[in-house]
Amino acid sequence: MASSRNYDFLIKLLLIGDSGVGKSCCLLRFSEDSFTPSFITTIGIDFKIRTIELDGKRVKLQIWDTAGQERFRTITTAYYRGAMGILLVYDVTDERSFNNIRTWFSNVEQHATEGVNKILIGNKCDWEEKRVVSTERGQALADELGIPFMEVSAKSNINIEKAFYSLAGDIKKRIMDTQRQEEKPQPNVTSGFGGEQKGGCC
Amino acid sequence: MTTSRPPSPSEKPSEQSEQIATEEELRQKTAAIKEAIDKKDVEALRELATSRDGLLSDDLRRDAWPILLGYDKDAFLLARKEQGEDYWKTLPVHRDEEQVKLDVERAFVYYPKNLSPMATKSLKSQLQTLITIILRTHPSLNYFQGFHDICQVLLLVLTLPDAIPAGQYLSLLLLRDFMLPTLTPALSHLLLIPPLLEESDHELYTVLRDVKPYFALSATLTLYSHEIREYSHTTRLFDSLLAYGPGFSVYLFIKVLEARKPEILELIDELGAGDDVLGAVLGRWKGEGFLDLEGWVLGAKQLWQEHPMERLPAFRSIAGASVLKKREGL
Repeated sequence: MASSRNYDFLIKLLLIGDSGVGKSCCLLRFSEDSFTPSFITTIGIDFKIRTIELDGKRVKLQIWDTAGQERFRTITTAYYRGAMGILLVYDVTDERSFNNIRTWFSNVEQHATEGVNKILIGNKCDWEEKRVVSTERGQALADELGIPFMEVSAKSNINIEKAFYSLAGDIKKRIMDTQRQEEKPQPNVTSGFGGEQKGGCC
Repeated sequence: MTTSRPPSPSEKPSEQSEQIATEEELRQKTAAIKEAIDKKDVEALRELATSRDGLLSDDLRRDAWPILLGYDKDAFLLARKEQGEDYWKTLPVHRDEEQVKLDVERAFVYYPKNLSPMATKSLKSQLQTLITIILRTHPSLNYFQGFHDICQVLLLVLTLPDAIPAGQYLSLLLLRDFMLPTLTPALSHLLLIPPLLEESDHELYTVLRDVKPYFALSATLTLYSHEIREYSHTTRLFDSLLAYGPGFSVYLFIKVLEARKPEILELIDELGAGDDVLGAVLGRWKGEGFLDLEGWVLGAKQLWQEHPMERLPAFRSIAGASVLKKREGL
């Protein structure tokens, strides 16, 4: 059905990370500006939409939320390919979730489109008395992986907007750069952003 | 929280009168269930569990579910007494116990209602114990997220310790495909959906042909306990799922899809078939508001009888050791 598009860009984002780090809570905070301490587990995959404005353009964010348990990766990795940006989330009060970021990162390398934008997110930063992963260690890991980093709190609404806006901004810039390159006559475009713009799961 | 409401005139008015059982009918059915329990008559219980309103009450379920699952409640309790209540604590820790903790923390969200924080804490601790015992006594089983939703229902209906053998039998007889090291065997159950839908509703089958049936995963994996938000609805569906055993949840899902048909056709109009968004929206189904449970169970039963899964070509791709092929007890 031909409906008039109410956005200039469609950007697909993906949230990954260990079970219980607060992926769904981050998404709920960003999409509906709310928080609930009694959240149910995500089984399989789900998504939410929010349209934001970036440099005068309407950008529709389609944000995919995934189950954290390893056995669901059969399903969730199918969504990596369509993602233009990936948020790798850990819990600053959970050492293991931080250590597993390397595994999540290599999953991204393996399954996502080359050149996909990434950001490392340390959630629950409001919970100082339970914190076990320092900001410095988070930053060091992000530097090592060569990706941006931000500590957030879905509960206290700290940096959630900033994290999504900054990732979306990076992606929009990359897309526009790529388009500009493609408009040039020479055909040797080496940018990784290409094939999977439609982002199917199959 | 939405509670069940009587159907409005636009929703199948002809079935409305059939949905309200008279007191006399209830009395008769209660007597029939009690008789079947006394005689341990599995066949009669299966029929009663799938006819209108299922097994009626948790009181009756406490005696009927063990019979449907095929274990002797008293023998279990006796053995437990001999072994000592805490014997499971000496068994090796199961590798998935940490994951269980994370999920138990997120249990008891929709029911029981108006629970005090103390009572919630106690239920969570019991749920952790229940799942830990099941896993430690069967270390080859792998925990999956959503198993905690199922165990939550067992705990509320049967309470401890009766929920322990129920959880063990359910895991081995009905859920074992879902508790293997990977998700693949669970996904293979979903391959039955397209051919069943083709038999049951050709129009829906046609429009959903390009969508992978993964949208049914959460409902079938958790015996609907992750989706249905009303406790009495969940227990009613459990009656039918325990009665018919492996595969029935897939048949039931066909009826859920048919009930959502107008919504699905509208979505396809809007999104186009084959879009990954469509699959996710289909999977997002939350069982709340008015649900025609009796219609679904009846319809699924008919479909089961008219199109047994053994006759579907997709059945051939199911592993030989699957609960669908190697049925024991259930």
